[in-house]
Amino acid sequence: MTELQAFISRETEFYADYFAEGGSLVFSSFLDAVLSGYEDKIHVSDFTDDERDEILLNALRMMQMMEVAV
Amino acid sequence: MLIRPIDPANMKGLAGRRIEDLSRFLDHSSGLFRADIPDFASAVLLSANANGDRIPDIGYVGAQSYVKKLLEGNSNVDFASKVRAQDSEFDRAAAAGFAIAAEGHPVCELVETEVSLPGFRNRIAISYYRLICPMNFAGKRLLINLSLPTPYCPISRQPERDKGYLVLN
Repeated sequence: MTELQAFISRETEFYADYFAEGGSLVFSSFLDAVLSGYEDKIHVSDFTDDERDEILLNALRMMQMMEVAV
Repeated sequence: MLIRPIDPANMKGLAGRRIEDLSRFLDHSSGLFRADIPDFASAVLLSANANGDRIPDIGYVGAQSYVKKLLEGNSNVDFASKVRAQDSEFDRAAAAGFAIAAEGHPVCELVETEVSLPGFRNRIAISYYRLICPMNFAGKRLLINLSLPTPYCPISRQPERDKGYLVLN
């Protein structure tokens, strides 16, 4: 597991309460899918600051959207 | 702005094939999100709270999405509000498809319009295909949108046109 994936795993657990049963797994899959969009990047150090901000911003916006989704 | 329905099978070029692939995937997965979803890096996830008056709130913007490319350099802002700020008519016209998808009906359209882009003095005509489908994400309904420029859209040919200009001058 890369450093970034470990970070995502921790964050996903932290936010698990936002989701129905199995939802945290979906969110983990979502983050994996997000990261796969950055080709050939595996370690945290491979990402630029802007890319890291972009990933976290996407995760944050998704959390906010999930809070009000039905 | 002109928006008209189009069958994914009748879309031209690579853009058409990519949209058809995502459409087929969502058919087979019954709209369930999975990590192996095709072209996710080019997709956008939005709220299914869509009333047709405005483009719904945006949750995820793919790193290689058309929306991000259009608004490059503004990745920390609310994309939907940025689009609205450019053209309120665009917002209303574009919003209709999201409202239809929010009711559970996939939408596949050809959009032709004009936009102002950073670095361009004049408004330029663009055309793109867009697929909007309802998606079940962790038990909740969201919308997924994949928009890709058509093969005949000036933006998609811009690098080649720039190169031609440099060669001639």
